[in-house]
Amino acid sequence: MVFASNAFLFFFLPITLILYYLAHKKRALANAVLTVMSLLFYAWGEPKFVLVMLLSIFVNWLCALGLEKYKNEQKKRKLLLVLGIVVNVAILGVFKYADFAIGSVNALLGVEIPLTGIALPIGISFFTFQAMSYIIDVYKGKGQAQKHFGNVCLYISFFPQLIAGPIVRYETISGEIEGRKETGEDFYAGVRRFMVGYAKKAILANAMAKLVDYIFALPAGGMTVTLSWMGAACYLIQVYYDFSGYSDMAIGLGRMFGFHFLENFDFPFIAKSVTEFWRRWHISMCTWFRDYVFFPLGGSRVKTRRRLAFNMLVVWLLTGLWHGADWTYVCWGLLFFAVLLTEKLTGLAKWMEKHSVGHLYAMVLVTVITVLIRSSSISAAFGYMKTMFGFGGAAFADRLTWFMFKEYLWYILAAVVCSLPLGRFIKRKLRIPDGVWEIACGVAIACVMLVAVANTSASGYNPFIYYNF
Amino acid sequence: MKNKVNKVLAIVFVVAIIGMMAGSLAVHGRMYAYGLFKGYRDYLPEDPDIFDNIAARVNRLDYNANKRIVGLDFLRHLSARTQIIPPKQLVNVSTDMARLTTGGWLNVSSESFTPDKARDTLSFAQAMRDKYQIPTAFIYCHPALYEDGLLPGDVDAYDQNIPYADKLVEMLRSGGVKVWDSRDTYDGHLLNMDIAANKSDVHWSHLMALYTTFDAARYIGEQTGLELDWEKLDPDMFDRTVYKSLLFGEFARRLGIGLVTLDDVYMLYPKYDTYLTYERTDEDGESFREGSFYDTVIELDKLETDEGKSYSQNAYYIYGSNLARVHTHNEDAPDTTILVFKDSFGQPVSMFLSLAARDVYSVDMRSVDKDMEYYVDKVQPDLIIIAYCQQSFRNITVEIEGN
Repeated sequence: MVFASNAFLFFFLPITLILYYLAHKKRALANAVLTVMSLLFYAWGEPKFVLVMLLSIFVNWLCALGLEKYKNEQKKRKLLLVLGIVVNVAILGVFKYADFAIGSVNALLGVEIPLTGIALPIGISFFTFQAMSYIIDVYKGKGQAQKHFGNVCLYISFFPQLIAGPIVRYETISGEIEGRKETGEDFYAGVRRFMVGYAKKAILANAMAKLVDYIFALPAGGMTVTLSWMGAACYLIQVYYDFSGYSDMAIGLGRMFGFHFLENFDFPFIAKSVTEFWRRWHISMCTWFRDYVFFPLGGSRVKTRRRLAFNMLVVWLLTGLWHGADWTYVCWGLLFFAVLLTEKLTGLAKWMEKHSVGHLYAMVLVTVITVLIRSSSISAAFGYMKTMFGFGGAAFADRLTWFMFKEYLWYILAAVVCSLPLGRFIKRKLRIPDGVWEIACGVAIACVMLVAVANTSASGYNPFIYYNF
Repeated sequence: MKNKVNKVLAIVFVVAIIGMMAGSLAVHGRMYAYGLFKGYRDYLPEDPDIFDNIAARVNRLDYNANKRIVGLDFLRHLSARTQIIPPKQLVNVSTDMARLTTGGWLNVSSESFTPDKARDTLSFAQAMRDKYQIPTAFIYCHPALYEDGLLPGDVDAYDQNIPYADKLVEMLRSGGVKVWDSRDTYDGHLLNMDIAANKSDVHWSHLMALYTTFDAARYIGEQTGLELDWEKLDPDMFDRTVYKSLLFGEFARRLGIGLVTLDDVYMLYPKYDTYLTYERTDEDGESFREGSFYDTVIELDKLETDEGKSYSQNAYYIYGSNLARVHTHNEDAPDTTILVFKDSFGQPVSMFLSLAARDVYSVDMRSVDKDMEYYVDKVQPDLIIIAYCQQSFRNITVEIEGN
């Protein structure tokens, strides 16, 4: 189930809220309500895969109990941790990467090993990473193991973050599983955040998706340089609103039930370097890789540049693969690795961050590299990039370009404006009193939410990019 | 202040979503229950397991949640109105876009032609030929964009309708299926957009449907050697009553009156004497009528205007709802039995065919939980006709794959 849908908004959410707040005075019962509803939420898409998730949760629950039991036996603890990680990686490997690996072997060696045809469980990368976070945090002593299976189940399967993150680390909410306090203030703020996220997704991300789909579906002869840039830039914007909208909804829903998730985006489009961009984009995933992969490998405090490059290479290879089992994602990760390593070794990031040209530099690079994950293959991506830079004889613009620009002008403008931290600036410049500002914001949010609901109700077109990650 | 504003927002939000749920269940509860306990079977694969069963019920629930919520018309209207802020010209309706000024539908779906669905149709036709020795014909009902130069700028490059139709027709024909393409009717009879296509609605006009049926019956009769009285379908042998600016179709409902021209409705019925029996089965049960084509087939109540308005939302359905299963028997027609699998475009086609063949059975596979072969087996027709528009062909695949 996706949040921006009638089934969720008009049935699942009200029923969950009613049941939860009927039960919320008894913590165990309230948690049981959330767990059952979360499993139902997951089963909505593919009922079979609930079993996969439950198996993963069960294994991690046992591992964590073992880690707690053998508190003073380091060898056993290490063994349990390794075992837990291996199981989690194996689940990911079988369900997400098996066919990719077989396909690659087939292509490389010219053999014909049959593909497994195993379908990808929704959100597997997210819940597996959360599961790993659970056992690693318990191992490191950053949170206590849950005795009750239902509590682990709730942490990993909690529906707001289940299928598209943010990746909530165990240490962030371990205390809230049993010890949270729902307040009116939290609930109200949560609803507001949910509405903002819903509008981002249903109005801006979907509009951008429509434009991007058409541009990327155009035959090579129909493409122009301007259209190709429009397609690539709008795709980046689409991903941003799709994912940050989903994160807003997840954070908002979490607060409605008394949970506090960390922020996942911090105005990435104001970044002045690619390094800064990644500090502001998908923060939960970046910090996960930083804390659970990069730092254990030695981080940046290593003796040689070669070792630093190796550490970064591992992180970005995994980041690429995490996003998708395809060589386009691997290539995407490697390109970011090359850019980030260059920025780090040459000091380019620091220089750019001090100069306005950094904005242009960062956005152009990120836009161009992102073409890879929208394209069907590496060669298609590089063909598209060639058009962007005027190779291949494409015209600069044509009447279709102009028509499409006019069609999406308002959406593009709104998307760009809303991606920048302009609120406080406008309020300060225009000297708008706090009360007036808050009321205006409230009215605006209510209006856009209504339009967003109208859009999702009226149109069957509601793609969701991170759904399959 | 922020907290107070948030509180008001939250109260409005919670009341709204609970109200929508309660209202939708109060108004459409019967359909939700039907979907959950019976209608879900449409979504079941062959040999379903328990998970398929759950998934089918979930899918049906999802379908209902998308189609049956209170205030849906208002929400669609609002969505459409917010999409026509100048300089925008296209309105996104479902997965397509429509241009306002002509009413022609611009299919800008990113899904370009995939041969799988055409292959399914070919497999079905082959199976029917091998197993029952029954020929299958296809009447391709092109959506309401017929002419070149209707689209602004170079937007033609953006439209998937025509390349999709070309590939579909070509592939079916090359696989041996007799295909009548309604675009040939449009060109052959020198029709124009004003009389062939609705502007307020996605459907073609009944006049266009009649011309297409006439051409298709002649072509299919010639190609299959089956006896079809196609001359009885000559539009010149029909009386026509034109109801000016009567149809206020779904597209217009989304945009609101004043933004889209209302459509004329052509009521067409034979000048010659006819006598038919008409059996119909739908959600309301079974009904039986006999008499002339005019008395049995045409549903005059669909012409009634909406309360206090000058237009009708239902006028397209004067030849009946496509969701009903209908059997017509016409003693005056040649002894040929046709089974028509149709959508809403194919509905008037199947009704007009009742004048050219003795028995015509028509089914919309979306309204039944049997597969196509079940009906073939039951009816034992001399000819199977699939009459689909492009959108239906893209979407109605399960029934074909089921065979």
